[in-house]
Amino acid sequence: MNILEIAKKYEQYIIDMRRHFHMNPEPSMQEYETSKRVQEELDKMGVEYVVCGNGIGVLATIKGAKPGKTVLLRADMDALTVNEENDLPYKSVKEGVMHACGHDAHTALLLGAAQILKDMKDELCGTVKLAFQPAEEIGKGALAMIAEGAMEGVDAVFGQHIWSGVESGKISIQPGPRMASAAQYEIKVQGKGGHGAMPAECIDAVTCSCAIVNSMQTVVSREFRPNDAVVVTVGTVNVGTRWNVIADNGSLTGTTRCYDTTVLKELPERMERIARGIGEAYRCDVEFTYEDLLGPTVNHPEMTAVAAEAAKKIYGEENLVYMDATTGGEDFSYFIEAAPDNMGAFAFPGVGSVEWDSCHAHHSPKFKVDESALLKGAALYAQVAADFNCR
Amino acid sequence: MDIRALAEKNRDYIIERRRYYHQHPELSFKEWETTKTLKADLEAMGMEIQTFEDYPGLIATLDTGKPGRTIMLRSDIDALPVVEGTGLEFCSVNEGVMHACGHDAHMAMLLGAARILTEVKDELCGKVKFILQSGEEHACGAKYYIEHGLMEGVDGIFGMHIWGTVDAPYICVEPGKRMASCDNFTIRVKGKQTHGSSPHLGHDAIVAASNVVMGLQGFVSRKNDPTNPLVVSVGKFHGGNMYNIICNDVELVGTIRTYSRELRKELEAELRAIAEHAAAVYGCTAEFELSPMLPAVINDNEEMNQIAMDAAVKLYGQEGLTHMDSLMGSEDFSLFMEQVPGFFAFIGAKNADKGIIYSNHHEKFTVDEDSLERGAALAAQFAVDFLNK
Repeated sequence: MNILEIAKKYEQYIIDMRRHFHMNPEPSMQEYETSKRVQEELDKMGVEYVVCGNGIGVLATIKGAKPGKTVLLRADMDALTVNEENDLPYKSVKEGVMHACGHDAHTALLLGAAQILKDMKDELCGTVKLAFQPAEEIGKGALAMIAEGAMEGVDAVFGQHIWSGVESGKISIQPGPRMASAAQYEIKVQGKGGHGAMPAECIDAVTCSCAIVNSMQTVVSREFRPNDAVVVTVGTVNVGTRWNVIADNGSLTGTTRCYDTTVLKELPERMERIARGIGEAYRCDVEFTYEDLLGPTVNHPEMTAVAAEAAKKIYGEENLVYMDATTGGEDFSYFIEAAPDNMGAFAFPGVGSVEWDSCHAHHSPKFKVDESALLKGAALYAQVAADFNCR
Repeated sequence: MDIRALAEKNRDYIIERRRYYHQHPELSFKEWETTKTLKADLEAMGMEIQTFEDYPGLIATLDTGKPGRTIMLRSDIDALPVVEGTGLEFCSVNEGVMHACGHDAHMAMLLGAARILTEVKDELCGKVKFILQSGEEHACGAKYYIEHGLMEGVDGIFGMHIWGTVDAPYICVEPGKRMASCDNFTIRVKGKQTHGSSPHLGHDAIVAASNVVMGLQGFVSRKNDPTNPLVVSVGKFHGGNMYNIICNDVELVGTIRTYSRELRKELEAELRAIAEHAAAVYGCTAEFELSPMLPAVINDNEEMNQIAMDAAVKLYGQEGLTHMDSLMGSEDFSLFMEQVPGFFAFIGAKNADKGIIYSNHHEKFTVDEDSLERGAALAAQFAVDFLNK
């Protein structure tokens, strides 16, 4: 069966669905209408589904006629609190909310894949699960669906993120770490406030905080292997109240990123050691809290190989391109971790085109996609499912 | 003239006035009732009073009628936004306001001196002016009077501060550095904002600003002469909006204290250089803005120093004197001292036996009232000796 041929029937469908979602964006954990519309479309297709994931996510099932494995395909549905600056007929109708990351396209691609897969049920092996998940941007949606059993009986997972940094018509599907982990931390510093002219009577929380910021740089420069990318960012510092009062206390918050699971585990320990050590050196009490938001997205070589072969069929070998791993994060990493042997892969189909002015950064108020690239993304979902399930 | 005896005679008056003003404190620039009462008190002594429509405080003049010099005696009149915790029977009736710095005592001592000088007026020549000034706690209250030419014709000015860490009723009339200069600064560090996961695409203003703060420490520890006391405090460090955005804008706000006029002049350039270079290390810029506030209080007029010392010894002997380390706090009396020769004395408030042990600005601050007549005597004696020289 030629999946791309089947897909072509739905090219306009996919574009229309994407435009609908683009016009009606909903923020994380509020994708009620988006979910309803997905359900309506699945009903029209006669595809079975259950609501899964905080009452918003949708988990559809398409069973092939032949025996085989079970693969889960995933698309996210949430938009961002960004004010759209594009002048398009399908511009967001909601002030301050916009699909500025392409999740509208992802939802449309997966609906397109559902159409294709239901058309080829007789030739399909095994079972395909289609996960339409909420709240990717806040790292909660994947966990919500997994907690409600989305991964039961699943052998492998596959996801995609349309990418404005890749040329439209090309695609990156590479093994290994593709996206970074993300964590959030806070360091609270407690000194002893007092008169700005009498440092000897006080314990200065400002100086201590600055020393912590300074010393924290050495975690990156001195404690990890240079090949292991690590980012430690202090995003906010708020210490002290007045020009003539030595600060009593303050707070620093920030984020970390890395790709390696050992680094992931060791990073908070090392950061805490530095924060506490510097605190002690400056006679301050330090409180350190650290929350992992999501792990790195690491493509299993086997699943990547399957997906790459599928991509060659849809895109042509010459259109598989190299893309540096990105330091952004994806909660698709939770799906990969929940799969047996971490059997999963994540692809980046390009939507960047000068003609379409669609090279703007993700999350930009001017973010756009080249709609002609959407068809192949939907076809790829179906091709990966077909190929993996009958191995 | 036996000034000491006259002071003793007026002891009850001085104490009574202190308690009245203690009970009716008013905040800086709002001392209207205080001004009215002071006016009445001084008019009762037959003095000419000058008040101002747009500003509290007053100047009273005692004119001897004979030619001579003009000496000005100064007291501040404002209170602080402190909830009084002394439990005194003449506790503040104005909720949330308290004479927690002793300006009530200063006013009482000055009124005492006014009474004494009125009594010995015929034995003096020249004029005594009494300045009761508003807004000392805001570091600029004195400016109004100077700007309105009220220092014209004044040949010398004397002021004093009652101090919570000095034993009562001892007097400190030491020459030299007494209180520090005070300047504020703001440092704005600017970088380039970017996503928290991609530091190489931006210039992190928080890291740069931290480097600036650490650099400032090095100036105090390594570049300044160790025997030259210097405080550089960054009171406030604020930057960044979100934990996952590398910030491009940090504001540092702080204060500088020193006794040295030379160092004070050099500091702006030195600290600006540190800020700019420390920020540049991380590809950021720094804007250093200095807001000069007050010069140091330095008793460096030989004539005034001598008069003060001789007056104190004449009144209460060497045994009435005490030593007090120079303070890092500031006084806007220094502004008057820039205009005319001046002297600033300290008098003790502390008496552990009476449970009077708190520092100025503490909610339980009070003074040993035995000091008050001595302060009045000192001011009066100073004026007499200055005019009759």
